[in-house]
Amino acid sequence: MPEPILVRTLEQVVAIHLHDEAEELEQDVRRAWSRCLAPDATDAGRIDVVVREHTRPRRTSTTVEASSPQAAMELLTQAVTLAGLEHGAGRLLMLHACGLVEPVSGRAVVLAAPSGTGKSTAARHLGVRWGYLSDETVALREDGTLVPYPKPLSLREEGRWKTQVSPDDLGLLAATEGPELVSVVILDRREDVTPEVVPLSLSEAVARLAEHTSYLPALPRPLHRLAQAAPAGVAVLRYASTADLERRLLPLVQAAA
Amino acid sequence: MKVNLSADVLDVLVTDDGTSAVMVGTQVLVLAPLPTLLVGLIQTGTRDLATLARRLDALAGPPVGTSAQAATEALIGQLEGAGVVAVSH
Repeated sequence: MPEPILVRTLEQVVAIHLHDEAEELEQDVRRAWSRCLAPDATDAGRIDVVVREHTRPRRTSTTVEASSPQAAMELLTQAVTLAGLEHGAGRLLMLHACGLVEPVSGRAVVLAAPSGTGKSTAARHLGVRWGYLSDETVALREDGTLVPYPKPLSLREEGRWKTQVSPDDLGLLAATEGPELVSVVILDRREDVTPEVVPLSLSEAVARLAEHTSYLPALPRPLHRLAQAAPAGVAVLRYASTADLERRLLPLVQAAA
Repeated sequence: MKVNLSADVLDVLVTDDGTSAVMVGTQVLVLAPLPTLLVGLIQTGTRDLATLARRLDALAGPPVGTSAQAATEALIGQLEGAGVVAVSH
């Protein structure tokens, strides 16, 4: 059995134990999670991964069971993320969002969106010029600092399961240290729409952002934490292409100066 | 939107424009200024309708086309009917 692979997920480290046919995934896991590998950890969580023929796909925050390597890789990404979310519950404000850092200013933008509506695509395309924080979960501590989670990007290719690709293999930039969150944007991707940024009132922003959170009710004064998350405001960005995205995001970051 | 009225109110955030966001269980509602004010008055123990109406008149004025008293009574009735508040008549 290979040595467990230590991976940082938000503020938690988990030890991934590969069993049976999953042992062959060691190099794939290390490569996909290259930006999250942790040298060592005390109090690490644990995830056991099993790949066996005819196994029904299943995952929790501590176990993954799959019948194919590709299924195991996607379910492992979900399990690692879930472990980080569970660990951060009650302390971290956690948004379903892509996080990017403008490299010159060190200012970060958070792009919140439901699954399948553009987070990974935005990260993949903008991350070659903006530092990559995450394509899935952006977390904020109570003091407003960001917790990076540069997980593998989950990309839809062929087949049922998404491919887990390291941000290194996609040439994504690493985020600068200590990025400052200046803008939170809710993505609204539609075909044939004229790109526009629609600012939200604070109460509307809080209500809309709440839809893109994990474990929000577990936080003390959850709405106040959401309101603190974006001192420069929250807006909806309607767009049709990733080219529109960057053109609209840069002014938001500059305006926050 | 259906609201679970038996769920706890976890947080209320009142903003500069007079609106508020209210977290009830896992749901977040946005309240316009008038309901925000009413909820605030109810939370502070103001259950006397005449007093409530006077305070509304002083702070916000009545909604167009009705009186503050009528609007207040209607809303209180709805809240009472839904079990949100109990009013002694």
